[in-house]
Amino acid sequence: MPDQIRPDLAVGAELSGPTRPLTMERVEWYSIGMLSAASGERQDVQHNIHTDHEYARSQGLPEAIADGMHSTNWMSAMLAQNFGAHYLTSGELRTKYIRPVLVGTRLTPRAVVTAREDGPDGVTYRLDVWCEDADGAKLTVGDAAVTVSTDGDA
Amino acid sequence: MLGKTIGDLEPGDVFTPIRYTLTSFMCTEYAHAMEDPTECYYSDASLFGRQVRPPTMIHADKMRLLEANCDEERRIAGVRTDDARIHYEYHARHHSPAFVGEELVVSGRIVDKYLKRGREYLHYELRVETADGRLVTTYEDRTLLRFKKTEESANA
Repeated sequence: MPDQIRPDLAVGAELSGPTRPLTMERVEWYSIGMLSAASGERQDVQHNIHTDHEYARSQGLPEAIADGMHSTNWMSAMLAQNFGAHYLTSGELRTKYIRPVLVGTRLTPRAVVTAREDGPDGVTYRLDVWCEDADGAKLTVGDAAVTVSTDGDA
Repeated sequence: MLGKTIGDLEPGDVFTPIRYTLTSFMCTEYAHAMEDPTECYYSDASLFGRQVRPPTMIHADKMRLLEANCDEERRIAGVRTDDARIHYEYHARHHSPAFVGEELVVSGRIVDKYLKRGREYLHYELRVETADGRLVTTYEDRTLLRFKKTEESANA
């Protein structure tokens, strides 16, 4: 994240992150990393609806689906990249997983500024955020807000 | 300890808070897993001058809280029930960064449990503070308790 970012965005400004295929390797990396972070010890890949097609089908899913947090994390990284430390100190992110993200889907995080509000603490940006597949279909949707403070520190 | 599975949780249930010290290992494992190159998640070479955790690590806090409070369904330990839980909504508000070395306190409760289009959802509310009382993150979460609709589960 670049330090000392002070974005100046107009309503309608569009943001995006890299397009990446959400491969099984990436799903497994998140499984390992999240469980390791939650336990404080290095964990192995677990067999669950994200990593095991057969188990996912037994649960009524068409096949293994990515953890919804994968989309959220890629949107969060996009916001951190564009708003820097302001996002970590005053950000808000809401995401809804409206369609399953099947393993292998090419996913792109995007956002558009919907409002810009001047206040005593700085400028608050409100954004619609989403992750879309290669056809432009939205699989995860949500909104975000970040206040860019007017003082010297983020 | 609530002594239940996640599916047994009911509105009004209050989790016993957990406390842990945030380590560099936790932050780097999480950031690396989501391929986020933001340097402040890996070292103190950043605007803050201290290593911080990715804000979305609140998801790992939820796992910790459930692991400590639902002894019949400990997903980190690999203790599962017949039903996989599916995350439906994430909603985090960041109040301040959490720094490596700080002791964090995670608390939470069940706000609601409801049926929508044949599927049952659980609504959580979580709060993360430092041990000395600085608010880090407030969080709401909605999780689908099983993907199969109620009538499908009964016939399975």
